[in-house]
Amino acid sequence: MINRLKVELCGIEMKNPVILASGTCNFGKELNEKFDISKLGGLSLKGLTLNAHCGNSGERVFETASGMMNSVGMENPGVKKFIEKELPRLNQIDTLKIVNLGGHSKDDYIQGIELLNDADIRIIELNISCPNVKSGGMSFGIDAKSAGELVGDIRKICKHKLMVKLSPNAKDIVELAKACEANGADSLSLINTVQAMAVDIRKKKPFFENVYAGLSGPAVKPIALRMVHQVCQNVKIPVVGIGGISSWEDVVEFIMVGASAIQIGTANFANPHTAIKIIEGLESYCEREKLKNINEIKGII
Amino acid sequence: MAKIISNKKLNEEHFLLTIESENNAKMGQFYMLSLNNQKMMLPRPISIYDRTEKQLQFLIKIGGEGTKELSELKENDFIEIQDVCGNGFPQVAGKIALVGGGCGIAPMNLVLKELKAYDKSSEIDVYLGYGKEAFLVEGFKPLANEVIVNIGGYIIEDVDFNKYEYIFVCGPNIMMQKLHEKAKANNSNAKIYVSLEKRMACGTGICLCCSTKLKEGNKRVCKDGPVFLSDEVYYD
Repeated sequence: MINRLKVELCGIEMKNPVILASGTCNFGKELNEKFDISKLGGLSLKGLTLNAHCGNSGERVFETASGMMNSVGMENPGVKKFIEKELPRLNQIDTLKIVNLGGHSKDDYIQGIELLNDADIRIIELNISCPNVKSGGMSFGIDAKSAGELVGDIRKICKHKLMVKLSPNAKDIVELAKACEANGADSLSLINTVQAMAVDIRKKKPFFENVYAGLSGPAVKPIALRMVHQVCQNVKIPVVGIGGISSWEDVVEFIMVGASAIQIGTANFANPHTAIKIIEGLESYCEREKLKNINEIKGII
Repeated sequence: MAKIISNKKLNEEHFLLTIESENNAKMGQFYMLSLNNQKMMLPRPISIYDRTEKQLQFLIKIGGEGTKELSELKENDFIEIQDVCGNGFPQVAGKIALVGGGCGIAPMNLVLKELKAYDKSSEIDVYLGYGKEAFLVEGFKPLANEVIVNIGGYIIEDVDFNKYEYIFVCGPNIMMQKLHEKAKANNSNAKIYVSLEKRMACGTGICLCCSTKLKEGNKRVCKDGPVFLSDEVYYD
């Protein structure tokens, strides 16, 4: 049987273009209890920082119309513990593992990359777009110049493929994307969550302790699609589309505007089996449309 | 998809939803109930009030738009539910108090049944605290040693902390905190287990939205809990 969904990302073959987004699949263990995660194209693992981080205090989730806001704040075990405790198990599973790395300072990123250089991984997703940490995080990802510099410095020392995750809160998403490409990014993923706010009218206070949080889900999909389209028109490196994807039709839209692969996030929370349903939907779609490979529709818009 | 068998209004705020679903759920566990609504995509975490092998029953309080929609489900409607979630209460025997506040009485019904099935010689007192009016009290009476009801006051004032080996609690955070403090003040030897409530997105342990700081570090209420030893919890 031919696999019509087989795609390639940065020279790495994937079973299909469906990746679970960072922060929506932890390190794969819980979902593997529910279904065989090796059926996925890949997993972008829970965002790491150099040192362990306990995340934000206070409420962390708020539902919005067709979406949700989160203020998890990069709770994670740190790079070293990840390499010791999570990676050996993950490497037994035949799917692409993408290691997501964030940081509070340039030094954090550099040291994190150095630790990961010797680890048995293939691709790093550089998170310069998390709106939920007070310092660093998204601040690197707003401005093309600072993002370009950071990516350039990391590229010099990083042994693995480098995917940069972009923020929709950037001043100019196209300039940002071009700066990352010019400084050696192998791939781009977008969009991270949209900075947003909720108010508790009874307490007369912001709902989140951090005041602002990240909005995701179908509510942001049209914005994500527009940004992925714009970026794909302006860079040559592969782009991974993210933002409110919850059906196979959504995936087809992202591929048509130029995405090489996609990530599913919030929809995993609504139903952990979403990704599998989407993969099945894409297979039937290719068959119906008589596509030998899903790539045939890539970038046709 | 699960079929609705019945949906019974208990009062203005509470209702009892019964659905058809094969399960082997245990006391203190919960389900994520999805809404048939594009606008609200996150499922609602709801603890199990009662069960048989083929049915699940949930006691639900209308807290917002999502639970209001669940209250409007009719017989023969369908809802999507996922696998059972959470750790549940431990199987213990002896002198036991079950303390529920408001909708927190929900898990105690199944707890009482399962603990009595586990060891029928266990002596189990049930304390039910209500804000305005009592409901579902009769259901506890056949198996409980005694059922103590408090309406409009503080149910924990009624608990004899030196009588029990185990106390299971579910209710508002402030009630669980006061119970913990009172047990300490009374030098109670009871092992206290609390069922925590937190806003959740996934219910499967992947989002870390319900992560809570306990004495041995962050724990996910949905996956590591919702039941924890009260001594492990920071009350603030």
